[in-house]
Amino acid sequence: MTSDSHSDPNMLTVLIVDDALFMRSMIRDILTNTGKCKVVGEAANGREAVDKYRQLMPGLVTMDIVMPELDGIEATREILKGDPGATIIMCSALGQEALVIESIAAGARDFIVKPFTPEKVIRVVEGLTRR
Amino acid sequence: MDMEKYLDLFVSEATEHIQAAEKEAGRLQGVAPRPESLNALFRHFHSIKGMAASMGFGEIASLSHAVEDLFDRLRKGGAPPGMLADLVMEALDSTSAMVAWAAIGEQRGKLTVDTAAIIDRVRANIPPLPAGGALGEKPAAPLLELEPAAGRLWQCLVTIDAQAEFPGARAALVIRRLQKLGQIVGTTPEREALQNPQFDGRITVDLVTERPEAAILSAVKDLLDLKRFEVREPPAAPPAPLSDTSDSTQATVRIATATLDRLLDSISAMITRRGALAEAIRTRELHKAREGLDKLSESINDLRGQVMLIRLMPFDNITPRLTRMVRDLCRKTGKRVALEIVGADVSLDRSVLEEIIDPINHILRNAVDHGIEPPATRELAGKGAEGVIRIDVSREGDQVLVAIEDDGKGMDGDSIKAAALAGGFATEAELAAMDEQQVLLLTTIPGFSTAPKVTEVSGRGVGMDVVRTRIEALHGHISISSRRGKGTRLMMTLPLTVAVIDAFVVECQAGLFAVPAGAVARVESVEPARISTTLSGSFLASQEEADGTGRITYIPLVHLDEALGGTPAGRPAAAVQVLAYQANGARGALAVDRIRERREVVVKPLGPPLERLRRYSGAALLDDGSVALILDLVNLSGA
Repeated sequence: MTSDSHSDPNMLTVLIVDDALFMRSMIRDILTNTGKCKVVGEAANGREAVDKYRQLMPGLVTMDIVMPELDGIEATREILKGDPGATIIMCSALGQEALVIESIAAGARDFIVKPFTPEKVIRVVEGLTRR
Repeated sequence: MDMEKYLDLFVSEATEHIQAAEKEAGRLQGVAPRPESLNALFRHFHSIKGMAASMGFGEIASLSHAVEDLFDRLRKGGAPPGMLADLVMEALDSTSAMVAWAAIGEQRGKLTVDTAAIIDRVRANIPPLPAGGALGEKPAAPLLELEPAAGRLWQCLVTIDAQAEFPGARAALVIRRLQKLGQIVGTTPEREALQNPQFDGRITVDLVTERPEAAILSAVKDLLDLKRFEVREPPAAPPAPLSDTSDSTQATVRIATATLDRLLDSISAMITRRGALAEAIRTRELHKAREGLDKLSESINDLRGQVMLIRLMPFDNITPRLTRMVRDLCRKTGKRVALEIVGADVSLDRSVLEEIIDPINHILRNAVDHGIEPPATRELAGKGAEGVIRIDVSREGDQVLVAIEDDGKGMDGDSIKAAALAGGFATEAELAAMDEQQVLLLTTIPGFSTAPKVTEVSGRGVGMDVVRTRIEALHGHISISSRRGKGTRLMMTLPLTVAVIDAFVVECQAGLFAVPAGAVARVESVEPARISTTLSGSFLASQEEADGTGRITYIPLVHLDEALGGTPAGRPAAAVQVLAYQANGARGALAVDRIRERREVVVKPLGPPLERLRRYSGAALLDDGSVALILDLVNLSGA
């Protein structure tokens, strides 16, 4: 991570959490292509996500739910324990609505349902940045 | 979005998951699966599913989704199916083959693997959840922690866009935002309903907050998929709960979800068939249109049958009330009566059942009050001290028969005749012409009573005339038979349902009428030669078919106009259309100018004062907007 990644105040810094490199790459491209986001880090499981969040303090976390080590809901709880202002959006798949509702109770700010399209991702991210 | 550039990544990562999963699956062979294996396999297939869906590889996604669901159930405690390892290996082989095809850019869909069959096999092997819920599943976490708050109570009406993904989760976000303003004291439906796939996106949230209305509105204004959000002050007082002590059977119906699914299936079929019909009309293909109409009618019948089934309720539902009433009556009159009910499992349309409670009550009152003798009298007559009232419910085709029989003193035909004469209900000549049945039915004339005194139990409430009117309003009939000293038997014949009947629509000078098809034995065109006219009326010569003797019988024949009060036309000059019927044991034939059609008609009750016209049991609205009165054949012939 270079120091200038945090230097542009107009760019939203993002930490991408997903155990699939494929998913991380897609989300990274979608976010980067908006011209408003700067991906500052990636994590492949919940444990890594909590550690990276502390180091990077990103403006936004995209959080997968089903992951090895620590799942996305637990990671969300831990991150919010350290930083109640953290903005975390859940990346979920069909059939996981109950888990998403649990994540919202845990403090997640929004969610995206896979399969991802740029439209879906941008809609949610813009909704968050308008606030 | 150009997905091609992710293809390599997809292939390599999916292959990794497939290989890792193969390794785990190998450990399943012959041993009870360990929880770690189940979790790992669940995650591998979950990952493959997510990536494949993003790539647009539907078949890979569907297959891995099925296996994911299988392992999700297994890790929650479901019993592993036999040959689990083989099943997973087979799924992995197919997935692997499909990924390999995808790698060389081969069009998906032209695969040699029969994915659908494998998916079916996997899905068929998903075990049910163990009783008592999922093992190891955390108890549902409370959605929100309540914090004490004070202020005013507001009702927030939330509507999530019906197109939104996970509307329940969207609603949870709204609730979460509102929560930050104060305290949520309740929601309708309950918050647990948000997780239900049937949640329709509408929820009302009761919020107590000190913040102004504008703050509530602005708290949620940037949320996605929030179609409508209104804040209002709740009604001053909660509405009084509806009394549940009402005398009628409850008006709500519990329906099994499987039944609802079937209804929905029928409706889907109707929509499809309507589309086909519309298409045939658009292309002006008459043959196809007719076919489409037939199919649509079939679906409608199907749907009607299903709804009718839902409306059916066993007679047993009202037996506790009847038993209680007889017990109370016995206490008041000092008589001893045993109530026997046979056929309580026979089902009737719930509205019919509701409507016959009062008539049955009245008949039972009469039986206890006038029929069953006091114990001492019974013993003198050589009967047991305890009288017996027997209700016998049975089903006959699309009719339900309810017979109520007592072993009391029976009805006295002579007293009835005397009372009829004294009350001016009938002349001596009329009485002389009456058979026993007709004499007994005199008791159903309004105002008629043979009771020497109005007793506490049966002198009030509905009389026998009301019993008859009620039953006939349901398109039913009542008949009475009685033997002095032995008892009385009342028989109610009721339709299984009331809303729709099968009927012949006929024309005559007086207009358009509907004849219930249930009573019609046959319809024929009759040559004048078969009709004999005597002073007492016309008769139709008819060859007996039922008993195989082939002998000729003569059935009373009347033209509908004549039956409705017109002048007798005598023997017709040409062939006439005749409906031969059997009603309440009597046979008759009705001549009409024309039989227009046979069809199902929706019955509308006539309502007062027209319902007093016993010749008609209701009215039917026809397609062209005209109204046909529905004939009551029993009362038409008896009149």
